[in-house]
Amino acid sequence: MVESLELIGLSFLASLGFAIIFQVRGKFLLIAGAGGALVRTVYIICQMFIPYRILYAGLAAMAAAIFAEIVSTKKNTPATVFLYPFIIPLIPADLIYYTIGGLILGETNTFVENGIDCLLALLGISIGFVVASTISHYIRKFALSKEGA
Amino acid sequence: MRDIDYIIDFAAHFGRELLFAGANLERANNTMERICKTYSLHEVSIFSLSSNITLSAKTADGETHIRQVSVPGPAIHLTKLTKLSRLANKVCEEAPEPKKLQDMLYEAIMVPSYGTWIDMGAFVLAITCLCRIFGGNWQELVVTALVTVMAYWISRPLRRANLNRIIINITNMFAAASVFFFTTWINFTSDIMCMLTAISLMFIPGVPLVNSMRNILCGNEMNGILEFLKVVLETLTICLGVFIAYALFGRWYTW
Repeated sequence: MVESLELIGLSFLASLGFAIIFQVRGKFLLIAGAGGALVRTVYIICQMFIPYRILYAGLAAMAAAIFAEIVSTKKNTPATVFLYPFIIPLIPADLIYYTIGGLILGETNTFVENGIDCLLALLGISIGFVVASTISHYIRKFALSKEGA
Repeated sequence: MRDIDYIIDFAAHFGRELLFAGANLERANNTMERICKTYSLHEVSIFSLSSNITLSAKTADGETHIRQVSVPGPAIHLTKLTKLSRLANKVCEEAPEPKKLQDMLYEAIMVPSYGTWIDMGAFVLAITCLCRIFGGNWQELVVTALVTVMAYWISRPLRRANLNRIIINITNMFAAASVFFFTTWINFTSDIMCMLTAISLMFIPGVPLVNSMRNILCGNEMNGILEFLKVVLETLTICLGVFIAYALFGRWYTW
């Protein structure tokens, strides 16, 4: 529990740091950090129940995209502004590292296994984004048509 | 210059600024199309890659106009992206006089950036937190923070000199990995994995990596594949930097 809370706090700070690197300003910085913490929370919870990285990474990405869409609608900004700092905790750097290690040492099995896992994790994240942005696109369309009627 | 020239110039340059600030292709294409349609241009055709945009549109009297602009490598600036997005909405709602468009665009892209020290502090904060997430202890955090500062100062002049990212990545990862091998050799640190993984996130193009997969899934396959190959190439250069350090100093450390 303490370890999970520490991870969530660290993800908040990491996303905040990347938000500054990406030139986000003002109160949006706190939202960026909160998004990083939220993504980590979803990631940890999903990891407990789902054994496949493609799925729990995808669900965390979906949470990130939905949160980004909600905040961007309220703040009248593009969702990308929040999404980029949110996804930093999701990038499978450990798998990239092991893939590189396998390549350097000529360990074909390590390279192939981690390389495939890395691609699947990236695919999961992308699918999560696409599903969430498609859903929010239709919700927005539905809301607009209701307003028009 | 005629009105149509102002409009089509503005739309093409707007797309370029969007991509340069970190927008994805779909967004840039949609915005350019919306701008053209606001000024009653039709048969709008856009061919865009992350490095190039070709835009053509027809006026009411059947004249076709084409613009091609190159896009510099992205320098993600999310505040600029927000300003550009608001400008696009304003232009599409109010359709201002075409002569004023370039000035409006110029005003939107003139956004201040954080100073050097804040920028460097943000890198140190983010990379050190990631090192902790990957399991680093306090010694490893200290070394990672110092190496982040070092990498920041190494890459700054290289970026200013407009050197290729390949060279920047190899140089930085070689320097970082050498320090990590050394600190592990003198028994100050023990887990090289957490430090290398964290520092590589400073150079792994994470956002383009996710965007490339997204492009492939969303029907922009050609750009997605090109972008993915670019990312893989850049990641391989990180690997090459580590490999050179390992070849020279690897005896200090058992992987």
